[in-house]
Amino acid sequence: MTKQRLYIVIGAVLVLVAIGVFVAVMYLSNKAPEGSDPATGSTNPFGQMLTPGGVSGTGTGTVTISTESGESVQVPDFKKGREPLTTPNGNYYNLYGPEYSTEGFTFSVQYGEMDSQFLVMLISEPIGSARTDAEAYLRNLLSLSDQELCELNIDISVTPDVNEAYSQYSDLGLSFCRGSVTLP
Amino acid sequence: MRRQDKEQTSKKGGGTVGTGGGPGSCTVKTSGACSYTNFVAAFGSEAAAKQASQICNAESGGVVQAVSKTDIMRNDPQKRAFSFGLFQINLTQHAVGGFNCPAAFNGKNYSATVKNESLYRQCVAVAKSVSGNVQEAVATYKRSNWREWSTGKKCGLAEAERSPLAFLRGVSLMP
Repeated sequence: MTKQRLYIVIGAVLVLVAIGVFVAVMYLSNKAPEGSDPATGSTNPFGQMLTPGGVSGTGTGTVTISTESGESVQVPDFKKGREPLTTPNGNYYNLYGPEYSTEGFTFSVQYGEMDSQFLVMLISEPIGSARTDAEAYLRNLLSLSDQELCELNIDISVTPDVNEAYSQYSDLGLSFCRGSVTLP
Repeated sequence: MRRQDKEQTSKKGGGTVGTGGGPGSCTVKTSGACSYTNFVAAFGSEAAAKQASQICNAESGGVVQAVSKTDIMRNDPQKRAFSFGLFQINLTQHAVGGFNCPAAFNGKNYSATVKNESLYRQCVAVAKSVSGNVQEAVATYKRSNWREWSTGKKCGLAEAERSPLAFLRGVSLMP
């Protein structure tokens, strides 16, 4: 092999390596760290476990929902990949919750499309801890700050079979929002 | 308390009405899946629909696909529930959507076990739908008012729905 050919081969190898490094850097910079909250970058305690149905807070599409005061907010498309429960009064989406047994579940979340309502049911004691789990789930699902979540139509309640005393409240509220009920 | 704050600021009219319901879970709902307006046609009157709204809210909180936390088959290895949906229909006792759900079980209530998996799953699916659940709730209500729901008494409805001859209780008909 002549010296000239050797330089050509080395140059080609260097070009290929440079292209490879460039592609790898581009790929890694676009990939969010797994299990992180896309809004805050903080660690998501649930990873992908609580977003069954192919929906996660890092989805590519967005959907518009209404706040309690009627303003519009864009959030990741949490409806994508989920079958709506169609009723004459509008569509509901079962975002998270048990199928046959509540074992292992601390809460469930249902979304009512007609009034942009997230209905959270606490289904295990201690309900304070269950609410914390639900808050982390909503934060991750919607990629919103606590302050922004307080603006949404989110109802948190518990049925008498789980906690008789706190079932007397129509809405327990998110723990970090004004007027919320302190839970055990 | 917080509910009142929300209703004052909500442009959508809030979620409860101030009269006709008990506190908290026994409230008559004006929005969501347990809204009484959803039930007027099925239950035949506004009064019955408001009672239905109370039962619905106390039973499921308006979660269409609610799975019972307490109605669990004790001997089921997976500890699965036997009551589902808005009105928490007990599938060991009630048919839904034309399916003979009690036939899916050996035994009833807490001691039940599933003997027909396919039928059990079909029944659960129907019980978790609004139409299937409400249809059976209406049929049960027409048979026995709210007495079959434990929340009927809790919400003060089982008492109100007693027999028209109840006023005769305590009155001796013997000479």
